[in-house]
Amino acid sequence: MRPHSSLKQEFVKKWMAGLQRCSFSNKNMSILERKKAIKLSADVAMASVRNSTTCWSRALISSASKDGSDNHLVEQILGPETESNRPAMANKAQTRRASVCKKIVKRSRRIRRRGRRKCVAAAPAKALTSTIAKHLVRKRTQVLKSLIPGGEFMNEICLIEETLDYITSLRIQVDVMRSLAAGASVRASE
Amino acid sequence: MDSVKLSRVSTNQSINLSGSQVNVTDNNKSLPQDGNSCSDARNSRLWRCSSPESGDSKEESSISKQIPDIAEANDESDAKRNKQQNGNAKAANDGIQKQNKEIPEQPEPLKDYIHVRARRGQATDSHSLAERVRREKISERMKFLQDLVPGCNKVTGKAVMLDEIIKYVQSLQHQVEFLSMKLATVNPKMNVNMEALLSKDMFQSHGSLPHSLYSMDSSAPAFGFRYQPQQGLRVNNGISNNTEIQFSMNPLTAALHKAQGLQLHPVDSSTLANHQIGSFSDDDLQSLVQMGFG
Repeated sequence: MRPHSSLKQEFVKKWMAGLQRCSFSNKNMSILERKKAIKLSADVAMASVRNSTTCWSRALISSASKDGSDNHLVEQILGPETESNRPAMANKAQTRRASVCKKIVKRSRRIRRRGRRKCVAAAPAKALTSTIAKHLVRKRTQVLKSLIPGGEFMNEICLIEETLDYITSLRIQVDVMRSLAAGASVRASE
Repeated sequence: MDSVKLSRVSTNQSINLSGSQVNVTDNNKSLPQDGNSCSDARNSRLWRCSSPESGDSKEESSISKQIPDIAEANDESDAKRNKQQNGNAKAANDGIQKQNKEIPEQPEPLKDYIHVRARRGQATDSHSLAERVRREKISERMKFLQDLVPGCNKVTGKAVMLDEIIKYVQSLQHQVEFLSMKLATVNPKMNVNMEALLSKDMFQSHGSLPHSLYSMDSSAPAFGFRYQPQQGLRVNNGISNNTEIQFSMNPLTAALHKAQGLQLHPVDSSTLANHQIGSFSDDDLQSLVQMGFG
């Protein structure tokens, strides 16, 4: 993880800043709430490290800031950048609408095509396996799109790039959290 | 003239060649030998130039220079120019010997057109060409993913690899959830002071970290701290991170001792108990900072 050390530092810095501003002072916070706050601040910190260069980070931040209760946290983590990010998010909303419309049109076309395919007689085995493979691939890309934040609005190529980036960010996040948790548990066990 | 007819590829400002570089050069060399240029549209030996991100525009221009001027080049360039003006891929499809496809932009800001040509013996339909470009882009990126996702090296084929990728992403996300829950339970007294000190110490102790890393190497085996993979975490991830955690625990203790001005004594978990660990104190915070660097 050596090349990621600078990313890690940034992430830790932002995460700690976010946690600091969290409402942890309220001792009556339940565990679930605390966990939610931790996770949220970690996610937002992770996304902000990317500085909105990637699609998933923008999607993550916009979805986090949509939620009214977490808004203040997001703003505080992002700091003065939020002002510049908001027009970007607005554009993103527009492109989202456009792409959602495109998706609907595509789906209707696909349904029409499916009706036609059923009329085709039994295809040779080779074509059959290829259609099965295509079907599998399509299904799995759907699943992947649901996993990656903002994934439904990307075409396949962008999806794979975003996946790459998202995986590295997740790895960094997991590393930092794990080491933090390990250290904290050692302390707590004493 | 039986010499192979190839037209110059018109270079826009930033057309880049990728790994198809190899194809281009190979074709370039082999074509002069292959004196039989088929004038048939379907079988024409064409070479392909696509434009993914990485590439060398310099090389691209040099290749275009290497291509000898051919008799039909002039006609071809005229046709090409017309096509460029049209920008319509379908217009280029009809019975023209050298197909110079211009496929409308993939979402890349710099390039105007992607020049793609059909390979020998393959369909020259504009749709299939576009499909092929798309497929090759996807497979290129899949290769990167193969390196990133563990256990994908032996697997070929989109469906299985996508499956692996999905599993990996899901496991990473579950890990994040689990770890955040763990952090929530482990630190009931996490308060504002701790965070402030953490962030402060992080920047201060950054310089001392590499030194402490080396100094604690000798006592590494004595530490005996084994990070147990948590239940529900994927084992391979846990294993890959184990060494990192172990390594990071060593500077932790070094910093710990430094902070308190204690002498370095053999580290084992019992010594940690000797420190004043109740609520979080300064040294704990510093050690936690070191952990954060792991």
